[in-house]
Amino acid sequence: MRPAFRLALLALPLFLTSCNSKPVTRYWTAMDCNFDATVHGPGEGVSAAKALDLEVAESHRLDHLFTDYDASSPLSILRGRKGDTVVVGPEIALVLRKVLVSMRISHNAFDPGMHDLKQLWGVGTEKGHVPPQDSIDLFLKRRFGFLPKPDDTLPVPFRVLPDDRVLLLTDSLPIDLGGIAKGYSVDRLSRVLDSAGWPRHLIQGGGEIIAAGRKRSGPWHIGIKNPRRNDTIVGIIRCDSTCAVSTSGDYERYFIQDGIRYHHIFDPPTGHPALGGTISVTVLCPTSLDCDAFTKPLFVMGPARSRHLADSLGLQAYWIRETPDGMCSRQSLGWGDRLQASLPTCPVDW
Amino acid sequence: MEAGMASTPSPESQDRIRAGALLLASGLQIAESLVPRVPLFPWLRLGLSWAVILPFLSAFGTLPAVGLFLSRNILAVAFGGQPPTTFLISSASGAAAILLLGGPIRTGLARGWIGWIGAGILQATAFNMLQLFLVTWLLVGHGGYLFQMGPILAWSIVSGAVVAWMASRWFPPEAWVKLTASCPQAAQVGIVPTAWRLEAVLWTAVCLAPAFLDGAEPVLSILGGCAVFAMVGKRFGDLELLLQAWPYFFFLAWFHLLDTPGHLMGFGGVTREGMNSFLVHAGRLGVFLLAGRNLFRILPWNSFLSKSPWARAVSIALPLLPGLFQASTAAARESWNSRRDPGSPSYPERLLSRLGEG
Amino acid sequence: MRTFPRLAAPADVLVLMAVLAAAGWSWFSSPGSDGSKAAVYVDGKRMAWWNLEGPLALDTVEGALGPVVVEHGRGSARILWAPCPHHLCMKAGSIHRTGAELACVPSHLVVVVEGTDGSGNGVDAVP
Repeated sequence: MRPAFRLALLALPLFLTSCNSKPVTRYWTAMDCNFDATVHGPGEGVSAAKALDLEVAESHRLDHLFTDYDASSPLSILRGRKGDTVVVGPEIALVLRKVLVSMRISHNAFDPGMHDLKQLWGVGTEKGHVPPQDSIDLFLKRRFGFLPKPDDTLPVPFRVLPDDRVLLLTDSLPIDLGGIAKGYSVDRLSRVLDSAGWPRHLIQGGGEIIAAGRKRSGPWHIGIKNPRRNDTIVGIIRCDSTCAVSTSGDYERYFIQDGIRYHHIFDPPTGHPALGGTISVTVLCPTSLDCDAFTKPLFVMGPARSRHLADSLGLQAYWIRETPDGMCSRQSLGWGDRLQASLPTCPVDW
Repeated sequence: MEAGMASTPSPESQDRIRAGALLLASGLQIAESLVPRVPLFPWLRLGLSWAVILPFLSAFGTLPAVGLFLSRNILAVAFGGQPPTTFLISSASGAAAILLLGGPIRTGLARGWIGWIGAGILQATAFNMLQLFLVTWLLVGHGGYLFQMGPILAWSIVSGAVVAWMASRWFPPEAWVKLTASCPQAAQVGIVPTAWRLEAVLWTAVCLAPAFLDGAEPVLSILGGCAVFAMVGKRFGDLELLLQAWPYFFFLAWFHLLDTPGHLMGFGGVTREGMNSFLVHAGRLGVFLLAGRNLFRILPWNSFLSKSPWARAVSIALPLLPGLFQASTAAARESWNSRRDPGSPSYPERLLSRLGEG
Repeated sequence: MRTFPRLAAPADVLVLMAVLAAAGWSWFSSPGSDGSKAAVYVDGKRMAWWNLEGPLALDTVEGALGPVVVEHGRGSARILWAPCPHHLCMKAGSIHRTGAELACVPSHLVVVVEGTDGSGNGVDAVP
């Protein structure tokens, strides 16, 4: 009895250290980017591991869905003939409707037909270079039918009809959803965790974050990356309950030629990367799909053109600009005390 | 007038009291190591062996206390398998802390200006701070690590107070006089066989070689050789020694398997490096126990080490350490059973008597 | 016959207050903390972890495309070499804040800085 008792006493610390209620995180790759999901307890349904398995499975389904239509490659089913009507299913129809809203509201600051242009510039690959203006003009003429001026209304490439059908309005256009598919996916993943009984969770993927529920230890804190020193942050967003945050910056994919940084966020009418001064924008929205639909347009438009737009859409945006003296920022009006940022405010004319 | 080493009667008693203090301090250190570490805060230990070192400092002086601390570290490395950097940093910080504050603490305690609690907190704070700074400067190399200073300082208050309470209970004034009587004596060495020189060199080499090897295969094969020798020579007592020392192996497993960074092997958070580290240290301990036993039998330790009282104390304490766990649980049980009897021997007295018998 | 030492004496309170004050000052003046270890995940599986406090060291982890070399220590981690076509992860620099990540997407590999931060200045995520 005595030796067994001693052994049991020694073994006790083993059990004490194994009960933990720490959050559980899973990392995986899907849709050509890294995802991670963290669930905070207590969960009310299946186990954390099982819930995260469902997450990974759902992300692979969505990967398959958006790849079946191959939305970012020249083999897209939407790349049909002008006048064709294509049945796309409810999820893709939802995403395409959002694309159209984004295009209209942002006055051409976003266009889903930039795929070939991005290939031309090669941003983010080793072949990044400024293409000759003739090639850019050629692309613009093929895409829009004419060489646009900045204030022209650009034609939409498709129309979404009832019953989840799409009417193509251009020939052979490879659709680049600009990451809106990722926003939709992150929203879906969040709903999967909700129905698996884990309403308190944080999902990150492709630059989108959704923080859902309210964790026991307090509100969520989302950092705003310093665009020039990616290992530090310049601000913290506090979320008291569910929120989605998305950041776009010129540091994600870029090349530098002759001292100018060319990044991957294009200004459609010009065919060039948007060089209006913004180097990063962080957007706070109710859903990830909204964030994705508007982050790049808000980047392209810059705060002067889009601050009131953000307010009217119920989004909050934080723009960062680089100046010779360092960095400065502007923000939309509705942040309240949810944003703590350390950069000075930019001069009024930006 | 403080009680100093000079006031205890004979050199033999001085060796005994040193060996006794060393056994108590090492035993507490090793026992405390059996408690798993808190992740991210590995310094969150009470430092129970200071419950012996502080009273030793108060009774016998600064230099004897430094000697006790360093000897305790050496025994802890032999049985606890710490990496050399930990051993060196801990030794340097502790010795420096005692040298810096030993005199003032001793005087303060003797004149009644501070009590055990104040002494315990001061010593813990000095030791922990010196260790933190040394680790940050030598190992980490960037100041952000010092963010732990706040929690460490707060913890020094807790650990210093606990150690002080234990010290006041176990070491009332004049406790050392009573303890000397319970301390183990130097082992009587029998007639040294004539061929001892060659055998001694051989066993010394076998004992020391694993300390310089880092791979599991060579260390384990040396251990295997010693075990085969023990079985072939029918020295079953030697193998029983290994079994008797199982708590040390358990501690080594706990220390190395779960906490060593590296490539995960796919079960229970154990890394390849952790498994290698555990096998190396367990192998070293096994060789040390088996080969050390033979070495102890044939070498006249006390005449070799007669110049250094702490070396003699280590030579008395070393062979007794494998039986420490059994002796301490038996002593604890006896102390608990007789806790209501005011005149009964204290836990340290019982522990030392049991060790001396075994 | 002396009756000292005792368990507690008046000056002990001074010692206690001094150490508490030092602890409080040090706690409130320390910056937001960095993480203490870096872990590598390939295809969601935790493959290796290293302490970040410690000297600089190199380690190789097998990713989906081949070996990826990670340098870690002295408070930070970075991807030194990876077999992916554009080497975006190698240009991403080093990470040291808790929760910071470096990813080599073609290798299905992520390096994450882990560890709770005591001062509460850590963020849950950085998009």
